[in-house]
Amino acid sequence: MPYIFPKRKLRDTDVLDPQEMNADLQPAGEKYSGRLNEHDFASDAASDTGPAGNRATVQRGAMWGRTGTVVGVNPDMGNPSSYQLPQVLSNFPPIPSDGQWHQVPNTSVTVGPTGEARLWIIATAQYFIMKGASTLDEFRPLDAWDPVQVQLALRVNGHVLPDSVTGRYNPLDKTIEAWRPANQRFFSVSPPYPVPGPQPDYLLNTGALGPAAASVRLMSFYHAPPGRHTVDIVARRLPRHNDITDVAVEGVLFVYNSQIEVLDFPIGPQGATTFDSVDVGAFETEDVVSAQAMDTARLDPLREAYNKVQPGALGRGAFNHNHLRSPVINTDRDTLETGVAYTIQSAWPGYDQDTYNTTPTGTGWFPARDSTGDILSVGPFTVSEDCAIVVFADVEMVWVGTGRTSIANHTDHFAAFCLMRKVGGSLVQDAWTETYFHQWNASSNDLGRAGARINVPLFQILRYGDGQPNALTDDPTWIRVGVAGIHGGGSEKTAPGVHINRCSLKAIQLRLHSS
Amino acid sequence: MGKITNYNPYVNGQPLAPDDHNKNVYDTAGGTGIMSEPNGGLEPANLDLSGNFRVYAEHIQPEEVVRPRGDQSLNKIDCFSDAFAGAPIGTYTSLMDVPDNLWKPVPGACERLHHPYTSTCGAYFVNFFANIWRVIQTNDGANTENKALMGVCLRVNNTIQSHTIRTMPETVFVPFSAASPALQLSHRAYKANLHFSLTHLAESFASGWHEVQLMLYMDQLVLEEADANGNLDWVPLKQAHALVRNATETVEVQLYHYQRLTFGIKSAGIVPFL
Repeated sequence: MPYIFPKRKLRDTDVLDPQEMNADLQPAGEKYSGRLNEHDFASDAASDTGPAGNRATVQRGAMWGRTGTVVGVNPDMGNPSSYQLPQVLSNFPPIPSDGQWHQVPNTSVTVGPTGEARLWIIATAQYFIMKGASTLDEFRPLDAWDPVQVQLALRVNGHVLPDSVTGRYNPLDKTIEAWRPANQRFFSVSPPYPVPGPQPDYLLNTGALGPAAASVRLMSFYHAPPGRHTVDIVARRLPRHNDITDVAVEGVLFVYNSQIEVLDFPIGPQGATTFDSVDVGAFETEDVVSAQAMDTARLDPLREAYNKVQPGALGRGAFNHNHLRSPVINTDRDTLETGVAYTIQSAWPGYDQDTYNTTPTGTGWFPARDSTGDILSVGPFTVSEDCAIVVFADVEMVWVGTGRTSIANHTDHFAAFCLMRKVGGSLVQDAWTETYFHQWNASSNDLGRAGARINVPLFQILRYGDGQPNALTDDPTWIRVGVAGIHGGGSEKTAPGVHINRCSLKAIQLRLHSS
Repeated sequence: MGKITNYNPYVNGQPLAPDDHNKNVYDTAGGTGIMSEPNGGLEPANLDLSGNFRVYAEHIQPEEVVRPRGDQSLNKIDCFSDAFAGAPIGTYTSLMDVPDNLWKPVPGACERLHHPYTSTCGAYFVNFFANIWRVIQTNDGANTENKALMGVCLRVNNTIQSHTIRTMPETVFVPFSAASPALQLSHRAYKANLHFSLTHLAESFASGWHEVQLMLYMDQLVLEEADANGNLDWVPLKQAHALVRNATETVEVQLYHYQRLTFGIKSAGIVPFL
């Protein structure tokens, strides 16, 4: 409802007309009765400042909501001096190798009921290709010639979100090799083939993930209709073309550590308030204008209503960005960009171990840093109200090495990463943020010794006092990326070096508002 | 402005005072009129803060707190060096040295958003799948190498974000010497199928247009050779290889080499927080 103004100004000589008297009073009553809008409120009306009791609190979930789950699975890779390859676990199912989408175990969450909303879905998933599905089987350290043909994706209400798929829309698509013959006729053998010109070759099996062990971060938006929504991570193992004779086909897909978080941003939310109104009775012809008729029956209820506005008096969308306080409490980011290449040969401390290493050749999680000693770090964060800290990190992992100087040509060498934080004087890391990448770009069949050059995508939402299980209470002094190496096979058990390059770490602290 | 407390009472037996009545209805002085106060004057003091009042989701205008936007492209696109390359191989030793104008936008990996109000921060991201054909000239794989650069990064609001520069893995090995044509073309591009998720955080987010774009740089695979007149010129890298077509046929051919980055499914997004 727009601004309201008197239709006439009462003057001494005017005759009191009931209609004009009603026009003085009823618009204010009509406005209060569910029609208060953005024009009626001062810009600080709901900006949530000032001492408690003098500020408008925001209902939890009104600005944004979060639903999610984490799955921590120990890949059983041993510990320093007794590393082994990732193992098949006795109570954890594989992803069937039938080419169909299957839910990644324990990653289903139900969001809502929401109104119309936009969902920002973020997930991570760590996969391994094992030699088989029995508990006697372990990781299959395939080299750079063997693509494992794995796709992961997000699924909402049974519908796979196509933009989240880690691959190609047509996974059986061919890819041309990037060369062309200088010869006009490809073959000079006799008899020549009846081809009219150059005939480049093509690659098969390039529509899905290639490495045998990696972690991916999936993201997508979903415009949700009102209701409940089931969101999960799905994976599939695609068939391989069989006209490349030197490609093995065995191996079973397992997805261990995973997270799925859904941030919902309301667009057309359901109504949650009880309608509130004020009744201003109309003046009839020959009604008496008295203190009771004016003040007690009409103006006093209006004044009282406007002096104690109830949530049901507001229309939809009564507050815009000018009225509202930001949900952001704090942000911080750090980047290492120039001259950062650095090799860390810190031995992975074992699964879910809060071991912080301060030397690049010891045991434990060593912080991602550059060659000058600058550590990738964000914080401190002060937790004084219910909130969540959304953390993203990207690290360029160049290679996994034999020692700190040379690239390993061994596919059983792993680099491990995690998000870790300091609480008080202690390191805390949550096991489900651990990711593992093997030196996939290794082969004894060709000339090169090349790095894996993978972007390590890390993600976590730290939840403080949100009334749900595993909510935290600590103030993180800092948040960092932990790096370590794992020698998964062979007789030599020295941790490999992990060579990292440019990286970044970002954190957004968002308030959850009142419960 | 704020609470309506300064009103003029009506007294039985007294004439109605027009000015007082008018002020009870509308008064620019504030604190009096039942019409003037709601006209932009309702403050925290007007709200039932000690009682029921809370800001509910229905009270917030759509997308006035978080205004996420995203886009996607499902189509495959082959980016070859003869169309997308920047400088000749060897011009730059690191992607950090590549000038901004030599980074090329990747079609289909972009999001552009008009944001009507200033926000606290904004997250940008691009996710993509790629098959990589990055060339190294080498003879022994370790000591003598000539790596052609190839990499990606995010450009946010026309600024290359250096921390997002990612070099692609080397997957194709071309021998230096043309005198060893028996060497087969060796590559690992079968498995160089990787998924990338790159993010950027802006700690301030002005009103107006915002854009995140995936950028690509790759070296031209060319050699500097003298022509018949002795003038130096760039010529495509050509190398002799032995190609095996089947179990019985091996042929020696001259190949022109290129680099290629083939993108699969791509998505980009921007998430501003008020």
